Amino acid sequence: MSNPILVIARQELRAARTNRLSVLLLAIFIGMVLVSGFIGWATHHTVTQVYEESLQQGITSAPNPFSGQMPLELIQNSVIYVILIGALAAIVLGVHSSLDDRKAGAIDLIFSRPLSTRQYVSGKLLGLQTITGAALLIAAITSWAIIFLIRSEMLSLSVTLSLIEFFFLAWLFLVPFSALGFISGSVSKRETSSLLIPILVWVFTAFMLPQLGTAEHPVSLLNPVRAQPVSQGSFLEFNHAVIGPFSITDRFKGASAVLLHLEGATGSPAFDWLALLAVGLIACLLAVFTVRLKRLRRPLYE
Amino acid sequence: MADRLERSPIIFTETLTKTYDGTHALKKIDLTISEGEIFGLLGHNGAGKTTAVSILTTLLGASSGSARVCGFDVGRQSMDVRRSIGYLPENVEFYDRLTLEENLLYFARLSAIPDPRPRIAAALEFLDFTGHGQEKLETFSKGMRQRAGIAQAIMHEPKVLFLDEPTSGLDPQGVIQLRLSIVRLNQDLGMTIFMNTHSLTEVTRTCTSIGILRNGELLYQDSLEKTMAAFPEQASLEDIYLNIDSSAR
Repeated sequence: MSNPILVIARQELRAARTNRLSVLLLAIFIGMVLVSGFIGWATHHTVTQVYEESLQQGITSAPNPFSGQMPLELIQNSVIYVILIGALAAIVLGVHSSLDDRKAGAIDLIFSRPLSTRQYVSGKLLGLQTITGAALLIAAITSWAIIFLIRSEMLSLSVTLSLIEFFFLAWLFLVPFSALGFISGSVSKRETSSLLIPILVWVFTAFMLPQLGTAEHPVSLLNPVRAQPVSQGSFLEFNHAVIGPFSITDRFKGASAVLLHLEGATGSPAFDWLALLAVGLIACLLAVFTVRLKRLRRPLYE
Repeated sequence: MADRLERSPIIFTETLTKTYDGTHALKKIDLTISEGEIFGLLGHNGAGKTTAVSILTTLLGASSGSARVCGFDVGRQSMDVRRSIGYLPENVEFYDRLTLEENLLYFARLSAIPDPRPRIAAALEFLDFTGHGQEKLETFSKGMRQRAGIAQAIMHEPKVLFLDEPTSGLDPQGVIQLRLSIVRLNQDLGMTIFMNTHSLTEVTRTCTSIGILRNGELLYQDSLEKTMAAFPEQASLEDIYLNIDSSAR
């Protein structure tokens, strides 16, 4: 394997494996997916128990509230974890990807070898996306197993495909965050600002941007429900129309709701897919074309 | 000197200039280093030694002038230059959590070495460093890191090896080991060595030619033999260096 992009990507995977913070963050993320499944199981178990007791006592004759529930609803909390923990983990991974090379003083060594800055950045991005992809693949397998255990039945092919689509969408959602983290780690003069800047962008994207178009409570913006404009013809509705396409968290939530068959979720997620794809692509191209060797070689303070 | 001129120049600069925010780090440097030399670039802190090496290793662009290494232009043919050189920066750190072999494999692959393991083994053997391949870099002393750094720089058998302050921070034993390695690389493998250093002792014991840089200006360049002969009244290279440096003030 002598393609420099693949060499850099492979090294990225090896470095991430030995980076305690990266491993911890990925473990937390996968742990949260497990928690999501546990919450789903606990809710299912408790409500079913209460329902059966009520049924035995003749209090109700209504059907089990879970009987009409779609299987993937059990992991709906994963949407929130992807937006919160997943995005932060992607940022930290991205920042450390470039920062670790700068801190290790390896930049001069790497660029004394025959590779261009663009090949280096492309390799780093490829490595980062493979790491987040692998984490989400583990999360997808875990989720499938949890749903199978809770429902004690095999998931149908269409449900399995929807699950895969959801985690693929989550991967697409995380791409710009890891790229942003990488850019920040490459150009920042200080370690703290390299983390702070992308986190501020994440806060802006996850909370402020959708809020500008909806005036919803920030916490409610995490729910896997599309943010709605306040009223017809209002200033917020105008903002919502203009800002909406750029609010990638809203795009992710909306598409996730459809893919997980959540209550009230309608419409095609095609535009959401396109928006996330475009933002991810733009972020990666921005990294490839803006990161310069001169910046990477700059001393890092702190 | 006649022998030097007969050999082809492997490093050549012409009015090489580097300016940072209006400050001249290098001022119209004309440098010629022949194949097979061990060249020591002397100068105080901030004289421009690291800037010169950074330009010659293609890590930094020149503001004006030109430089060629192994016949390739450092600006326009940077990839060809990189294939022809090895480089050991002043503070080589690598990836501490990886083993020596993992680190070397990474750089070997970046150098597009088709079958890297035998080359790594050969480089480690050459440096009397076998048996450390599975050790993590975080356990290495400064001297061991320097040798690991040299192994990284010679695996692809470069024609020119650039060393930036290679003995900085080494204990006497480490200095001796490194000195022997440098001389062997030159004599056994025929590598041309370009070495930035403060250590006049090292220059006296290893270099065949020297250059003296002061505030970005190349004050002097000649073979060590000629230099010693040209200043018969000076007792040592240290005296010669101080004489040349002070005469430029």
